[in-house]
Amino acid sequence: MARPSSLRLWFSPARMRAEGTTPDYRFSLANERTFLAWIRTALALVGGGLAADQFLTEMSSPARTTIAAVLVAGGALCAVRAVNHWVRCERAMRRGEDLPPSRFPATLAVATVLAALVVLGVVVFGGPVR
Amino acid sequence: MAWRRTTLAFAAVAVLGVRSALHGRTSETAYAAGALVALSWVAFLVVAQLRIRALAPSRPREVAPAGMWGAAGCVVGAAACAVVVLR
Repeated sequence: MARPSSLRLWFSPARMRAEGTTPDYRFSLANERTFLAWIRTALALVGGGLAADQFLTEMSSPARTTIAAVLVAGGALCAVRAVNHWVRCERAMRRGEDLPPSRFPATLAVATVLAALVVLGVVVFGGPVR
Repeated sequence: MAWRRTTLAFAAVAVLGVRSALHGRTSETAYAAGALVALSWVAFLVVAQLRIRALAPSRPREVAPAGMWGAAGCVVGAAACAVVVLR
C-alpha cells in the first residue's frame, strides 16, 4: 500500500487514523506539546522581527528591515515545520517506527549562536547601531 | 496549559503587530495588516479553546490534523501581516 505523503496527512484525520494503530494517548499529548513549543518558538521569531523593526531605530532602514524580515520569515518557516514534524511523528508512532530525524533544531541552534555572536560584536566593538 | 501559554505568546506578537501598524502610519494597508494580526490571534484563541475543551475528559479526544494546521496557519498569517507592517 502506498504511504500517503505528510502533506496529505496534514488535512485528513481519516487518513491519519488509517495509518497503523492508535498509540498510547500520553505519547500523542507529548507530541502535541512539542508542536506547541515549536509554535511558541515561531511566535518568538515573529515577535522578535517586529520588535527589531520597532526598536532598532538608530540602525539604517534597509539593515533593520532585512533583520526583521529574516526573523519573521524564520517564524513562518518554523510554524510550517512544526505541523510537518507533528504529522511525521504521529504517523511514526502509529506505525511503530522510529521517530523521524530532523536537522532543523541544530540549524536553528547554530543560527541563534551566530546571531548572538553578531549582537555581542556590535555591543562590544560598536557597529551600525552606534 | 501549553495551549494557554501559546495564546499568551501570540497575544504579545499581536500587540507588537498592531503597535507597528498604528505607529506613525496613515496607510490603509498597514491598518488592514494590523487588524488581520489581531484577527489571527482571535482565530488562534478559538482553535486553542476548542482543543482545551477536547482535552478536558479523562481520556482526551485525538487531535485533528486540521486543528494543528489551523493553529500553524494563524502564526503564518500573522507573519505575513508582520511583513506588510515592517517599516
